[in-house]
Amino acid sequence: MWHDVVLAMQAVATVNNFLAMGAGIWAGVIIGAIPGMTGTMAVTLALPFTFYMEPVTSLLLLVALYKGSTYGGSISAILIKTPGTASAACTVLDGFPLAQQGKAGKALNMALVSSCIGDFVSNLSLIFCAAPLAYLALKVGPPEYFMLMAFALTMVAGISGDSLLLGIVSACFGLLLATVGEDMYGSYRFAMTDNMMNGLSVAPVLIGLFALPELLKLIVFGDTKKGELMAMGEDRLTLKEVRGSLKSIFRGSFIGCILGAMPGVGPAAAAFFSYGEARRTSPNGANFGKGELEGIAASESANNGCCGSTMIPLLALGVPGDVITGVMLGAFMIQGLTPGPLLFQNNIHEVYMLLIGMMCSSVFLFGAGKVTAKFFSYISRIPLALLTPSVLLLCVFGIYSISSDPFDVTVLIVMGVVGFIMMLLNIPAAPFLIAFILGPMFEDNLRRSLAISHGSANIFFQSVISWIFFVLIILFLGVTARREWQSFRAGKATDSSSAKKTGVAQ
Amino acid sequence: MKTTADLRRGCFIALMFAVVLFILIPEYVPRPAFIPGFAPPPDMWPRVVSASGMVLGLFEVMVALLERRAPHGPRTPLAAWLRMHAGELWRFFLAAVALMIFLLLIPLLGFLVASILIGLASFALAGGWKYRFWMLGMATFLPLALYFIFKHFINTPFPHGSLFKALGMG
Repeated sequence: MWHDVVLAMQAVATVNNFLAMGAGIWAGVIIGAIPGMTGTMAVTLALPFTFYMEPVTSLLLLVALYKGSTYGGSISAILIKTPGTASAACTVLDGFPLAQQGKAGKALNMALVSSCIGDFVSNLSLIFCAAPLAYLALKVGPPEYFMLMAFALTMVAGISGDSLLLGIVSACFGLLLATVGEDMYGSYRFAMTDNMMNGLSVAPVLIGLFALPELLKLIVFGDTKKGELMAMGEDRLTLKEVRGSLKSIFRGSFIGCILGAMPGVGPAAAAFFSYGEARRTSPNGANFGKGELEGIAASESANNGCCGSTMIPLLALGVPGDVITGVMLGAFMIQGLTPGPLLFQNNIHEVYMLLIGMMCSSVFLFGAGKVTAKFFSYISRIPLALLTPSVLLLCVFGIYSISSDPFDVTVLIVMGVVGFIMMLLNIPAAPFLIAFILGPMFEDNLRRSLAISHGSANIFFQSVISWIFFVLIILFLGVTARREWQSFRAGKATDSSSAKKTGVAQ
Repeated sequence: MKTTADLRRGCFIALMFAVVLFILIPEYVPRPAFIPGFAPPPDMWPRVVSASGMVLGLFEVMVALLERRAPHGPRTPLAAWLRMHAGELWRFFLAAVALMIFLLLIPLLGFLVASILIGLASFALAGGWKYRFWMLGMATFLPLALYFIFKHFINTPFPHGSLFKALGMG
């Protein structure tokens, strides 16, 4: 085995491989940082170029793009409150408030450090835990999956915004939108036009929901924020700050590893789960959402923690966990490699090369992140009146180029208006998006479970895993409702005491 | 009737989900004649979700009515609220119209010209007048640069516009 590893290390250490990794990471960070351009788009667009490359070089390029774009989403999330990718949606919650406080550099550094650690841990999990984790994920059936999704959605609804009720309402809107198009048995739902028969793509919904409301806000309410609020400002992380966030970083990395290995759950849900856990357990939990470095550490370590582990079901079982690994599956096939158990028997040399290359890419990620964040921070010097409309143009071109379909641009704009109305009504957008992404799987697993049990809901309470998630959901709902009730009572008490002081009758 | 932010929001949520439940689902989610095995029908899930959303909206209304004070703002009659926010509503209307016109112009003028126009409109509406030179430059050159990059490096087939085609320029 060690002989094979040494041979693989020698094979990886070529100029072509390092160039592919470096260029992939750097391009990925930039693409991920530009709103309107997603990691999926980066990997998809790079796929045709891999035809002309060596198998491992091409796979390293795609993996590097994936890792870079997953981290890159945090740059725009922190600097311009627009997550470049869905997985960075959680980073906005603390990243942008920190940028407003003049600590954008600090936030970016924390995002980079956590991303690199999460990425490194995830690579280790891929190397050492691939088989057992893949085996565990394989054991999960439709009822358990349904309960897992319900738990993820409840978490997201509970931690976004100020109200659990509004979070669940937002998730309901997302779940409803996800039903547009063809269902698992071939029935068309809400297919008002031909374009809607295939459902709505994630990219225009994501970008519309997060990027365009900012433009509309600027137009409707004027430029209330000044550009200097988003300047890099303080950028040196102190040892105390890193040490204070280490627990969240490692917990986030492990959450990312486990959820990333489960097909379909992905980095966005992992980031929210990790953020929720960090908020619940941290002594600084009350500061979350107001500019807490630990919040960024939790979400960024978890989303990059998925990058390596999401390859586990792909490599071990041949099952892509998300769109990006689906594209990678195509790249494997193009190169004459068939992911699955046989890959470890027939192409072990390539597998070792890929794993070693992925470890190296964590180092490249750190370097590219350092350079690109500073480069991207020049955006903060541009006045919002010029920057925000530019984002609209980037989004419009980026979205159109994915499918060359003007309908996607329509979806982008409609979702922008919807996002703005939700912003006005204080309804959080994140549960909407996560519900929209998880919606099809959520429903498929529900319907599959009910079909298996002949319509009986008992199937959701027949396994230990389902019970664990059910109990967690109830606990989370109970704790969140209690917290909201307490803050409501505290607010009421403060109001009545101040009213008494001023002599104003209620 | 006095109205509060919570009450308005609850009514809006309940109304949206009610429209989906009672109008859109019966119209746009047909039940197939044959459903394999014991599979639930295709309208089951949208009905469950929209009914849940409507109940949550009504719950928000109920809470707002039961509360003696408005937690998210002062009680304001709807007409007064509309008068207070007339300027903002007008700007929102202008932005929505500009975006709608952009969508209508894509097939007519092509993607590039429509993008330049929406660029100009959004820069102007967002207050870019203060930086007139930059505004004009960015509204023109940013779409041109993006058009060039996407067309020549990624081979995106942008629509040229029926008007230019009719004039023999497409």
